[in-house]
Amino acid sequence: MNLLTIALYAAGTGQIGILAASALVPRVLDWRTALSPLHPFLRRLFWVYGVFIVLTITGLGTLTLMHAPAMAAGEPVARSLAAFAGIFWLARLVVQWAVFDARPFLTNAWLRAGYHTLSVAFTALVIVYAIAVFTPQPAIP
Amino acid sequence: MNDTTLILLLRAAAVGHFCIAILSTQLPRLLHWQDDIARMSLLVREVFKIHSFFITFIMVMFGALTWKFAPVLAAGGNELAVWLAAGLALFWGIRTVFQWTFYSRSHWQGKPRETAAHWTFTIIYGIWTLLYAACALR
Repeated sequence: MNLLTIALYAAGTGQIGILAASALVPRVLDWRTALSPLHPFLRRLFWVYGVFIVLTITGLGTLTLMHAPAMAAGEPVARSLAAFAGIFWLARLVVQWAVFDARPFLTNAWLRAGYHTLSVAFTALVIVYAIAVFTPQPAIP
Repeated sequence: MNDTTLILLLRAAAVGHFCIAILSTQLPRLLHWQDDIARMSLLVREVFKIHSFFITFIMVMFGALTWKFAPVLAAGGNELAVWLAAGLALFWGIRTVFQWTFYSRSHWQGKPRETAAHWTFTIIYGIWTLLYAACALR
């Protein structure tokens, strides 16, 4: 097993870990209260969007864990999936740095540590998937 | 169903994903949500826009993967393509169920335009569920 395969297994596991952290977001940001003034359809849509983003991350993590060797070897479908995952996490990283101002919500050391851990995790995911896309390591027979 | 028909249906589904992506960027204008969105708190508005962006991005990527690998998905045999098809079938299957169980019927019942949209999306999502399931089971 080469280093890239191990990194992809870690990336798959990391995405499942990120989902565990993201499960805390609605409570920390008190979405229930924040969404209550919205039209009921918009409120439902907000949750539906969230659920399907979670489903997509679950899928990316699961497929990475199940097919890390194929991804590391640059098999065409796996390489395209790695590109999808890489762009997804790059966009998430850009949001983290350029769109949200999370400072008002980082009210204690745990939340600050969690926020910075997530930034590191997003960066690592982008790097690992970029390596899988641009410099795959075909298995030596 | 032979491979050629399946490839054609997958290519149509890919185009459908691109259409959903475009449609999702136009929803606030089509459904007159501008005022509702403007009334959201800054945080909720930002999260809503980011969610919308990622849903659009996911639709584009699903469409691109389906278009590019339609022959591989249709042929079966490639283990990752089989699991990708299974994942997409699950995604659209859950979306189809949500269409009936999560949204209140009051949003469309008795309103001809909304009822037509509700049934159109139910049928499209249902067909995609069956299509990807057929690829996963080959």
